[in-house]
Amino acid sequence: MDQHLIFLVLGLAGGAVYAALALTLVVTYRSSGVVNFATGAMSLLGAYLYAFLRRGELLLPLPFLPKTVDVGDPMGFWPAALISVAVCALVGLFLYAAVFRRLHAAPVVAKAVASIGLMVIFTGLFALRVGTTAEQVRPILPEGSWELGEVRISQDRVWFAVTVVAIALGLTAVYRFTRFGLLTRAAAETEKGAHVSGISPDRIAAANWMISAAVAAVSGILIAPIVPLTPFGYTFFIVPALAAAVIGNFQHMIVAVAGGLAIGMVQSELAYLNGEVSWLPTSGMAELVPLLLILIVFVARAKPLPSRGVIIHRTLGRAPRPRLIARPALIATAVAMIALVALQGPWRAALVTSLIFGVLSLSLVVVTGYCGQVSLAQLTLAGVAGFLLAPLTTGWQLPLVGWSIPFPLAPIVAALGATVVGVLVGLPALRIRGLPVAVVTLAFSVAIEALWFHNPDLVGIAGEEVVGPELFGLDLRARVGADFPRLSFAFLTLAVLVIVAVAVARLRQSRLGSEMLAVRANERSAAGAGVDVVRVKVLAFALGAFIAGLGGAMLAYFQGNVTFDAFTTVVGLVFFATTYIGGVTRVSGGIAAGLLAAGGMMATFWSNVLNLGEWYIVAAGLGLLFTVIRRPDGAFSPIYDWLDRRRLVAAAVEAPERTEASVSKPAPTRARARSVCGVVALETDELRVAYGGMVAVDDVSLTVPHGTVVGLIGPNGAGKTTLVDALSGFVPYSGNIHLGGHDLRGLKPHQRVRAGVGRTFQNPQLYDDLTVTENVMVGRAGASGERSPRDLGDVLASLDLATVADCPVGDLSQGRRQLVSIARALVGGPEILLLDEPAGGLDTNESMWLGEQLRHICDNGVTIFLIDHDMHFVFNLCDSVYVLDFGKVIAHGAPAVIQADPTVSAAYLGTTHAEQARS
Amino acid sequence: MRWLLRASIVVVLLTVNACGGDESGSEGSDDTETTVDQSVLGPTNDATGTPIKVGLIVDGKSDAMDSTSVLQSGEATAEYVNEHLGGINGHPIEIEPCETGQTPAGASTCAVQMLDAGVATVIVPLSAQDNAVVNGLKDSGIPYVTYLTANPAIVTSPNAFVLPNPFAAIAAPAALANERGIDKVGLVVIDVPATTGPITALATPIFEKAGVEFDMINVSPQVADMTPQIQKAMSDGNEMLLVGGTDQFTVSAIKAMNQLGFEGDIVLAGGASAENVAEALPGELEGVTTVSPMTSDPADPDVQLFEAVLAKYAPDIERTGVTPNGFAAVLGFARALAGSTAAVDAASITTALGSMPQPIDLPLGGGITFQCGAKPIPFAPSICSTDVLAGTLDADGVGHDFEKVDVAPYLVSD
Repeated sequence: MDQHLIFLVLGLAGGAVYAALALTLVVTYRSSGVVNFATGAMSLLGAYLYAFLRRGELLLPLPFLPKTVDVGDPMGFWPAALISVAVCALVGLFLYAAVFRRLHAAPVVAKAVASIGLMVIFTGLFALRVGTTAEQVRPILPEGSWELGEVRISQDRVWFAVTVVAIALGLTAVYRFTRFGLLTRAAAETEKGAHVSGISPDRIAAANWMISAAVAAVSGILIAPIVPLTPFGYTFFIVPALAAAVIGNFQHMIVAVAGGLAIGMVQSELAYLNGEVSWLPTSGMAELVPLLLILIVFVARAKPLPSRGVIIHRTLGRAPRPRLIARPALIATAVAMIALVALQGPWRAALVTSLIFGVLSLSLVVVTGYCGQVSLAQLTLAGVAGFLLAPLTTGWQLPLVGWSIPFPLAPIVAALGATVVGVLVGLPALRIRGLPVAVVTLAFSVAIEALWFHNPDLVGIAGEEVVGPELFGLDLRARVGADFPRLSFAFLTLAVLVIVAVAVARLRQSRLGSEMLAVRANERSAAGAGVDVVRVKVLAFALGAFIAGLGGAMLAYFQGNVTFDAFTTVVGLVFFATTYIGGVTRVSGGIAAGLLAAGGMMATFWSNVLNLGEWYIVAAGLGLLFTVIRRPDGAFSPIYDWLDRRRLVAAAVEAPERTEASVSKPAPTRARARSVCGVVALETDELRVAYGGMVAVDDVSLTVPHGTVVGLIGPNGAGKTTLVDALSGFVPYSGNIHLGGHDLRGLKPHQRVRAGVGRTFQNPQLYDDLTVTENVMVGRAGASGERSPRDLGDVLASLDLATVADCPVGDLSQGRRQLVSIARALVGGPEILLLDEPAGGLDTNESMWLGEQLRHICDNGVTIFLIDHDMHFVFNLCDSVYVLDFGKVIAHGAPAVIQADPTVSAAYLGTTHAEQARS
Repeated sequence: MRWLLRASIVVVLLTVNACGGDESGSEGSDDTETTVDQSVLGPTNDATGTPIKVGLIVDGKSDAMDSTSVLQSGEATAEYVNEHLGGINGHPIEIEPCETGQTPAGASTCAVQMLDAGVATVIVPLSAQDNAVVNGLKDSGIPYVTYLTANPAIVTSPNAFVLPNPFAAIAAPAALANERGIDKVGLVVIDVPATTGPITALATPIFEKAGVEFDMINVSPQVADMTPQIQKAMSDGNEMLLVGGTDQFTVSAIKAMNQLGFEGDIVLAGGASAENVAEALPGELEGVTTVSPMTSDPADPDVQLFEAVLAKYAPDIERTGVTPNGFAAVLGFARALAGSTAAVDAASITTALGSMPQPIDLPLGGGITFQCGAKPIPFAPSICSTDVLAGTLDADGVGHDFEKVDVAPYLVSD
């Protein structure tokens, strides 16, 4: 029999392990919208419970309780399995009630971070309570074997794969054909809808958490006979399982299971090829498989995960603009210097470690805190720099160069190397957004670790030697003989941290920083405001990687030697956790995170003073959960809040006169530049947008004359927003769009903004962390070439926003927010402004007032094309109106004409509304 | 964070204590007390001189493994040495303990603590983080005594003394294959640097000298099921398979071998505890060869001494497969210095250890001797011994019939 085929069959069992976990991931995501990194740990819990029950013991993996309780004779398969599944279901319910219910409206990324916390807690508890000795479970499935040529295939492994497929089919049927499945899908679709139909989404979610925990337990019990149980055992399998779930788009259980099986089979085939094919690397092939699959699927599909119908009202945490940099930087530096001098031995080493991890955390602040890209690979990137630094300082691996690179250059070159890798890691993020980025970076981290850091062909087992820094004859080495850590090195580390911290704070104040926050808040709206999303993301990954590289180089200098175990993926996950606890959105949070890092001040205090070193990991996991649930701004947010309150009080003293001054300033009125006769601002010709078989916009040809306000109305689903999306380049279309005679074909959204098409969104899509001024500033990215940006003050004043210029947008009313989004579009100096429901959520007075403002804007030479449901608003404001139904224009004319058009009222407005509109 | 790192420790290619038959008996304490013969401790002989401060570094309790008992057995052994052997030539040993928590940061911190305390020697029975410890002690002149490492920086350092031969685990299968007329050996090892590194470096010359072919089968810890890799090793005609990895790894490997009907010889030479493996695979370890520098033969005087020391000085110890390492490392240190009256500080102890006049018994070595400074393995001058034991496991994972395997001929560089 063909060897390849045999090895593919042999890979079934390994594949079924990934498939079982992938199935659990999909069930959890579909029902609760959580990408549960703790899936492996949940399965392990089920498996442990089952294994102990088979021996007649009930496992209690909790502190302060006996490890096991005797429950009589060893149990048979069914009672043991059923009890384990039931207990896991209860744990699932508890997790829902205690954790995920509170994160209900949090972004999917925050939920995933919470699950990372759970994973850490579970694994830590198992290690401390169950111990590290492997538990073995007797086979459940028939054991015999089949002969395939000379090869024996064990039956239990094949049956295992079959069982997983059968469970996937069964669950698919349950979700497709039962009322409960329907309700789950309905609740996932739209929560409001579920409420209206009398379903409690809360109950559905609780039930689904129990089901997904039960599925995890079933997977664990099935896997147990194949993979011996150890506390960390199943955590390894989360990456291939994630890859399989990704293949199923976190929606299709059968596809995910097939993907898991395929990964196992490919790994098996690679095991066969290892040795047969000489050019394959000896390490890391198994880890490369999931990464490549994830990349192929994401990049080929490039769709975000199907999102859920929940209104997300919480962000990753506020990222306020630092007001002062110099003073806090000086104070902190002075405190750190005194501490470094005062501390001795282990405590000074702990502080230096904290300073270095502060630098590393700041890299996460840039990538995740500012730009919103969840990178789980930052520590790996630090490792890349560390491993590059070693040969740069010793020179022995550079036969062509033959000399080593001197101090300030070597770490910079190493960090630049990390930057290159960092950009590579970030490249998939250009096609995808949100949680998939976390999955990709995790897979990258695992693969880089296996292919490089672990690879005996590249790295000696004693690690790579690093020669300490020296500058102008000044010895900056971390160690000289028994003197460690030396003060000069400690000060060097502090200097690096201060420079990086100030740079990251300045970044937040810069235009690039504002653009990053814009990308973080909403990529679509950022692009709509003229931000080049691709450029901003690449820069964020590059800057983040460079900073991580500097941190990695300092760590390498500190340890004098680089080994893989300082930079493993798992250490990276804990590093991510501590950074998140410290506060991933601010510079001060990053520095605080350094104190919390492994080996840092807090960890040393924990183990040396409290003598609880072994509980540090569990504490870190709990801290992460607490932070995600209660303090999205970081564990230290009460301090920031207190500072903010103090500032507000101080500001209130000066505030009144300033407000008065700006209010009294009249809106500028300029000469009315009414329609230049015959000049067309925007024109479409047989514009058509189709999604699959459905035509959303059907051969629409419309003309928007320069200097007019043109309205577009139509019933829900008529294709209005799709039309605007096509105009601004968010959806592919056929037909032509001309702006002032120029064809817009092939231009990306931000390029269209720069060409003069400004737009707003139905939901204003603002950046709540940014002030009004900063939000509007983002829009200046839209000004380019001959079109200069409008004066910020003028724009704010013309929309009566001057008084709130320095307020965070999150504090404004809905009407004001709409104005800010208009101001943002306006400041780029557009030729035409596309407004999607500007009066949405406004009361009559507000919308009348808004109409006046828009009229002013138009009179100042900006053509406006708007969609709205408020008929008074549209008919009072617009010079002409188009009516769209089922993607086609069914009427066009002056407001009076449209109001009088009986076909329009009959087909669209309905008699009652028509009456209203006429009155 | 450490469960991944643990791979590297448990895996260092040496048998930590593959033959832990004695341990199962210790579960019932009554049983232990009745069988332990305290007379082997010998007469009381208190050390009364100025103490010698000795650092004892272990990884401690982490989520990867628990080596707390290594510290306890080391401390118990120091007490025994102080009360019954007259210390180090009259100077009592004063232990300065430290746990690395199995992180590089923790290991660096331990090194700093040792420097701070001004110890005369650092003893590391075993540690996944010994690299960071050694780096932390670099240039300090403090001698470093260890029972278990294959770290090239340590085995070549003039300040380090590695009591047993860490490379024996790679050389023994070659020697055994040669002896048994086996043509090809498959090395099934967990794919982490601490394991694959030394094998990559050493296997080729060793097996070449033995005239035996070998296949290296690296298995990623991320692979769920090892069947394909084992089948590959079998299809390629390997008649003997060596397993080097964690408990979990070893269980998976041996299970796959049995399921696939492997009929050749199996050699266990990883950090796995044979007893744990046997518990997971009832009956399946019978006849498997174990390679280790330690015996567990109850008739062995050192085994009896070990039992007596623990019974007297650490009666409540919770033993694991690595517990004897603490005993062996501390006692080996004391034995090596016996008679060197000048050895009192770091420099003099380094000199004394580096010039042991004759070979003496390696603790628990079942007849293996060691002589630091003799440099029996030329390319790794810190290693103090050459031989290793090979025994046969019974169904419970207990080793029997230990015999010395002479691996020196395969470890001579040309």
